[in-house]
This record gives sequence, C-alpha cells and structure tokens, in this order.
Amino acid sequence: MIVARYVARVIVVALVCALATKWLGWWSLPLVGFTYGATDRRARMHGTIAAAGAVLGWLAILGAEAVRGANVRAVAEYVGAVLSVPGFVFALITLAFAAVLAGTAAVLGTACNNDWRHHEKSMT
Amino acid sequence: MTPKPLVLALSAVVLAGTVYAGARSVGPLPPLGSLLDPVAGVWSAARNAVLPHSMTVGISGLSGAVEVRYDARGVPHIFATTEEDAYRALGYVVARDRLFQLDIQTRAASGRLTELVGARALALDQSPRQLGMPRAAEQKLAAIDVSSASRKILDAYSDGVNAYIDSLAPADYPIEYKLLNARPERWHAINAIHLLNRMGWTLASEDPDHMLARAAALVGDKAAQSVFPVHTPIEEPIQPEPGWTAPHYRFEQIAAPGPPDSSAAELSALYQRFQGDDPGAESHAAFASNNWAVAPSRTKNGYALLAGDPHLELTLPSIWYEVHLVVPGKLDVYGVTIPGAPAVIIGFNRDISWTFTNTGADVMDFYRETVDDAVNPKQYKLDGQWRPLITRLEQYHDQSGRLIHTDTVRYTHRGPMTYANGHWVSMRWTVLEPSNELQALYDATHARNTHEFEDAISRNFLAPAQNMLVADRGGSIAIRSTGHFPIRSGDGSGQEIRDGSLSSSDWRGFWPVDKYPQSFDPKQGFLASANQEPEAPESEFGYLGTDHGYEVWRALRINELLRGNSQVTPEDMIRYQTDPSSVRADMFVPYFIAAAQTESDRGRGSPALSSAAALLKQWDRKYTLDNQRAVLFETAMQQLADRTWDELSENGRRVATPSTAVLAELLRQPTNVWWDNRSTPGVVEDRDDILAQSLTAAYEVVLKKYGAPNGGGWRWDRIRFANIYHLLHIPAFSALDIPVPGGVGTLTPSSGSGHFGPSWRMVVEMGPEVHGWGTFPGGESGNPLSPRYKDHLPFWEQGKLQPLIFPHTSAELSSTATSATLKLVPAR
Repeated sequence: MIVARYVARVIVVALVCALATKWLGWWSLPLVGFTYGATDRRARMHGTIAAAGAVLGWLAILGAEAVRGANVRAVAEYVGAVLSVPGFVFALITLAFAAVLAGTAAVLGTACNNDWRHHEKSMT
Repeated sequence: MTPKPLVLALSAVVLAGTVYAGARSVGPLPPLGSLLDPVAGVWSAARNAVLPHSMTVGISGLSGAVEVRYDARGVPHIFATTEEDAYRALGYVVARDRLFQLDIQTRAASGRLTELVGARALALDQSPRQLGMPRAAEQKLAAIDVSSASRKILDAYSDGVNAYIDSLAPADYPIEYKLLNARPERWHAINAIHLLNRMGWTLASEDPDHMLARAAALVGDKAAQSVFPVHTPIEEPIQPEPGWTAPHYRFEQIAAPGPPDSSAAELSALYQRFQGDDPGAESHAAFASNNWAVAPSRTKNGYALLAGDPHLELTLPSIWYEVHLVVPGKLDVYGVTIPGAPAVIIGFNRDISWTFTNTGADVMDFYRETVDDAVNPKQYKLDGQWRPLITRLEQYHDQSGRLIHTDTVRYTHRGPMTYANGHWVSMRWTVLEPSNELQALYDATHARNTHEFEDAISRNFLAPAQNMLVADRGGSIAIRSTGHFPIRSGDGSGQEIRDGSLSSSDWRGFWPVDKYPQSFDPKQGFLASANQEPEAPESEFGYLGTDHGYEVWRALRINELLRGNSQVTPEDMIRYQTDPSSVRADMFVPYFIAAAQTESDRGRGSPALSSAAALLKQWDRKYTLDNQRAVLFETAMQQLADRTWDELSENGRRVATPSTAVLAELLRQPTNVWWDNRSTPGVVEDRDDILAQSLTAAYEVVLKKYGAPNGGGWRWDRIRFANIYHLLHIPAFSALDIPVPGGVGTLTPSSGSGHFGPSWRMVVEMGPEVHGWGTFPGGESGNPLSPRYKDHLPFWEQGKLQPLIFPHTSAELSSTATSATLKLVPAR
C-alpha cells in the first residue's frame, strides 16, 4: 500500500514534469520539484520522488516521440558521438539533468514545507 | 523530517550549478537546458527527421495554390501557376530541407561566420571581405533592374525562405543551431548573390601569375616560362579543331634552370596576400569537372546524349539540391540548385539539357599602386593625378553582437587594395564586376534549343567563366566557354603585376562573344570538356589563361572513349563517368619500366627496382577498388615530382609545381638539366636515373607502409577514400573513409584528402520524351537524422545513377511514387 502511494506520487510528478516541460521548458523542472517538496506533507524522500518523476516525465516525452516514429535512439547516438560519449551515456546525461533539477529543488522545497509545519505547530 | 543542513546546502549548490549550466554556455558546450530539453532541445531533431506525409501551409504573397509532391527519392516537384509562386515555393522547400546550410554558406560567403561561431572564424571571415566580395554583392544586387524576372524571383525566393523561418518554433530549428546555441537569421535577397560570388571565388580565384613568379624567382624567367607555359604541351581542346582525329603533342625544348631572378622574387612576395601556397603535385586536379555530349549520329537510339559531372568540394549536406519546377506553359525544368540560389544551375527542360565545367581562365590581375601614404593611404596616383581611395570599414561581430574586430579595406577603381611586402597592390577580378548570373540561368531554363541556350547564357553569365555544354531534342549539341575574358594592353598577357599608376595598364574590354571558344554541331559528332585548354593556340583570340589552370588527362580519356564508340547509349555514358582507366598512367608507366631496364643495363639495378618494375608491368593501369598496383604508380609519381622539380624548392619546400603535362614533355628530353638532382654535386642524373630512383623509393615507401604487394594492403580501396565532411566538420554527421575508385587524372578523380570529387553526376537523353539519370553524394535532407540525409550515397559510391522522375503534371506522380505532399496556399 505504501509502495503504491509512492508510485502514484512519482507518476503524478512525472505527469506534471512532462506537461511543464512541454509548455514552459526545461527550467520548469526546479519549480515543479520545489513545489512538490513544499506541498506534499505526508511523504518522505521527496527528492527521490521528484527526481524519479522528472526522469519518468522526460522518458515519457521521448517515448511518445518514438511512438510517433521519431528515431530518438539515432539522436542519442549522433549527439553522443558529437560529445564523444556513447549514445546511452548521452541519454543518461539527459535524464540525470532532469533528475538533479527536480530532485534538489524538491529537497529545498521540503525544508520550506517543514519550516511551515513547524511554524504552524508553534502557532497552535 | 527536515533535511540536515548539510544536505540542504549541498542541494542548493547542486541545483544552482545545474541551473547555471542549463542556462549558460560552459566552454564549448551550449547551455545544457536548451540542449537536453526533450521537447525543444536536440532530441526534437528526431521529430523533424521525416517530412509529414501531407501538410498544408499558408504563405503570404502567393497568387495561387502550389502543390509540392516529393517523389520516392525525396525530390520535390513543384507545380505552380506563376513563376514567382514556383520560386517562392522553392525557397520554402529548400529552407525546409537545408536551412542550416543556407545560413552557414551565406555567412561564409559574406564573411559573417563569427556571428555564428565566434572569434575563431575571424580569419575565415576576413578573406572574402578583403577580396571585396560583400561590397561586390551589394553592387550587383543594386544593379539588377527591379522589374527584371531575376529580381522578381530573387524576392519571391527570399519570401519563401522567410515564410519557412517564420513558421519555426525554437524546437524546430535544425540540430546544428542547438549545438551552436544559435538561431536562424531571416533571409535577404543579397544572400543569393553572396553564394554565387562564393562559387566564383571557388572556381575563378586561381591566378597562374604567382606560380610563374615563384618559379622565376628560383630559376629565372626563361626556365619558368618553359615549365609554366601559356599553352598546354598536350592539346585536346574543347573547341574541336578541323581535321584533328587525335590529340596533338606540342613538345618543345624546356629551358634549363637559370640563376634566381631577384625582381621576380619581389613580385612573388606581392602575390602572397592574395594567393595561397602551392597546391602540391596534382592535388588541384581533383578540383575539376567533366562534361560531354554526343550527337544523334553517334548514339544507338538516335537521340542526343549529354553527361555532366562537376567535381567540387564534397560536403554533407551536399552542395546540390535536386528539384523540379513546373508552371504550365511557362516553365518545366528539372535539375540541381545550390541551396540559396533561386535557379536550376545544371539540369534539363523538355527541349534542352545543359551542364558546366570550369574554364580555368585567368580573370584576376594585379596592379602595383602608387599611394600618398605608405601606412595609411587615402589617395592613389593615376596618370599623374591623385585619386581618392574608397574605404570601407569591415566590422566583425560575435554571437552576442559584440564588435570583435574591424578592418579598413581600400579600393581603387580596379578593386580592393592590400599591403604586401612594402607595396600596395590592387586587384581586378571579373567576379567582383557587375553581372547577373541569375538572369542568365533564368533565361537558360526557358531556352528551346542550343542556340537559344548559349545566347541566353552569354548575355549575363560573366563570372566564373564556364564551359557551357548543351544538347537539344532536335539533335543539336553545342559548347561555349562563357564569361568575361579580359582584353589587356601590351602583349595581352595577364601574367604580370602591372603598373597601377597608368590607366594604360587597365583592361581594354572583354572578348566579343563570337571569339569565345565554342562549337555548334561539330563534324566529329561529340563535344567534351574536362578543364583542358579550350582552344588550340592557333585559334585563340588572345591570352585566355595558362597551362597551370588546365588539366588534359581526363579530356584525353573522354575523347578516346567517344572516338571509339559510334553507338553510344545512356548506359555507356553512365559507365564512362566512373571509367577507371588512366591516360596519364598509359603515358608514364612505360617510361618507368624502360628506365628500370636501362639502369639494370647500366649495372645500377637493384632487387627493389626490379621488383617494382615487375609489379608495375602487372598493372592494368586501372584504379579499381581491388587494384593492387595503382598505389605503387601514384607513389612513384609523387617521388618523381619531388625529384624532378627540386629546383623549385625553397627551404626544403616546393613552392611551385608544373603540370603533369609539362612533366610528360620533359620525359621526351632524357638529358635535360631539369633531371639533375641538385643535392648530388659531382653526379649528373638523367631522366632514367630519376625515374628509376623514384620507382625504387616508391616501392620501399609502399612496402613499408602497406606491407607485401599481394598481402591485401595495396588494394586501392584501402588507400584512397572520399571524406565527406559535415559543414561543421562534425565527424558523427559526416561520411568518412568511403573507398572510391579513380585516381589523379581519371574521369572520376579522387584527391589525396578525399574532400573533392564528383558532386552531381547526370546523364540525359534528349529523345521525344526526355530521360534523365543522376545522383549526388548525399541526400535531399540537411538533417543528419533524416533517412534522406545521405540516401543517395550508396548509388554514388557504386557509380550508379538513379532514374530522375520528370512528370508533366502532378497527376502523373502516382500516390505510390509520392513520399510526401505539401500544399502551399495564399495566407489569409
């Protein structure tokens, strides 16, 4: 049950990350991560959840492109060759970039979340 | 649970660093965010790799709907109701497939690469600007009548390119922009002129004068004139000479090297700023072209045949883009265009087919000017009067628009002036003069027979001078070396630096068209040009150029093939384009073998020399992929040039290399002093000594480098490659190490670097229905991820041509033969 809740969180974050990237661009990932960290009061491991969600969100975008016939594997191989790394490494760099942006922002967001809770508790 | 302060601090630092790297360039890397973004970054290149099967786009300025059907090879067939609409659509589809190429080629031609890649391109940008090319383009554009057809199609084409650029979101930019963190620039009509000027630079900037001066500086004027003659010693001219059934050999005694000429040394130094280094033994010969046409009397099917094969720098995407333009009743032309130029450059319509080779004329002259101030001149003297210099400030900017450098380029009435070795030297060059090649090409696409074509071209195509070959459906064939050929004062020669202070040094005008080298329907039934001397000396109107600008070996082979076949078929034409035989080898190999025998008879033989001669005897003198002897001959030829022309070396480096035709002339003079090796005082070598030494050295070099003769290492396909680089020289986007048949002087020449070669092979049969075949080393798309990026390459590698589909109407292109459609409609 607990695992399912965490998976559900990852999926929701992934969905938001994908939509935010599509509409706003890569820089929206820290915003999504931070917002998630600051608002989800029940979960632990906000950073991990946000990072996994960002990775899943970007994978979903690339997967959708592939389903529509785009040769994303070729992009990985070509651009990887340009950067002198294997194609899968370029893909990993892409996903790691998303994970770091969302994950670290979520950790910072969690701190705000806890500060707010602490503040709320002291008020009562 | 609150994260520990250390984790928080670490997260903040990592996030800040990642966001910074995402937003800003770090070193050579573009900002990671815009690069890695799966929607707008490089990944989106995969999305745009294949054209949508069907699409409708609104474009402002169109007068009616335009249908574009892409055939199975990805070639767009554009069906429009007006010519302006056809060219507007052409701009759109070319930009759709080749936007980055349009942009970077234009920036290179106009000296604005720094705006794309920064200060590292400054030297590249300075060359065209110091040659006056951007200024010339502005003047050419201003001189085009705004009501002329060429100006209208120029503007329509620009509108089409811009319509495509305007439709793009950043996610749609070609992948190169993402790697460079740049964006496409809107297109301007002048860009097309820049590109044509660039072609002029490529094809007509080789000035023979500096080679002569360099040679004269070392061996004196008489010897230099002998090894850098005006006329080629082996004559197989483009304009057939009546009664000639074979090439003519005009071998003359080559003057012995004399003492150095100090005045020539001074002259040589003056050329340095404008002209580069010696291209080395025969490497320039790969930068060449072939074309030939056969009259119906010598073809099997009774229709005129034409073959075109321009040899240029090979790039990905290719310099050429295939297209078919149809405007019912007005225009129906198929061929190749240079992306950015609103014209079919080489191709065919329903009545004629045409193609070019480079004439190699001397159309660039230099003048030593007298100026009022050696450091910062403002005036120059002409006929005793001071005249103001025109100055133009050239400004160079980087990607952010920051000014990074300025140059002041000064102009006399002749052209740009530069400072070299204590002197100011100005230049006059036909490429910089007013002309309208677009109008010439526009008129050519409407020509209905050979005379109309040649007349249309001659009216406006002034530079670079080209050998314009044409065949028509009525069975006529013709060729004319077309362009502005200067008439000079004095002896008419362009092989000197003239006194700029006298107006009598100026050009007197240009050759009249009826004096151009040309031939219409020659008795021999065929015409062939391959950058050889256009006319026999006795027919020439005046000084046209020199042997150094010509190459005869391919012309000899084409003529040999065409003389030997009176039933030529299109298949023969296609096969001839990759013919692996070498007339050059036919001429030199017997001398090598005989020299080995002579040395043996003289008691100076060696096992290495005997082995080398035996191997050379086995050679069929063909440069096929599996050939295992061509490498020995090519290495021996390099050794021979090094040993023979040692007198033309300075500080251990050869500064001028005579043509191989002159070397062949020298072969007939076994005891000429040129054969003597200067580094062996007390010993006088003759021809056979040098030939034998060259062959022995070649054998040892090849053995060391490639192993045993029959071990497989000597195979030509392991030695000679085509290297087709992407425009940014990104190896992953390039096609490298492609084994190619052919060598120096064969019909499909391959240079050592592999950067040059056949760029568009085309054969056309002018029957009741015109049939064309063609291919180029690349594909229609400029997107490296597209399946059409280099899909023609396998055909090119194998020497095969693909049938070119030439439908009269869009309905003739069946749905199975159509890979995509694009409908352009007037925007509301």
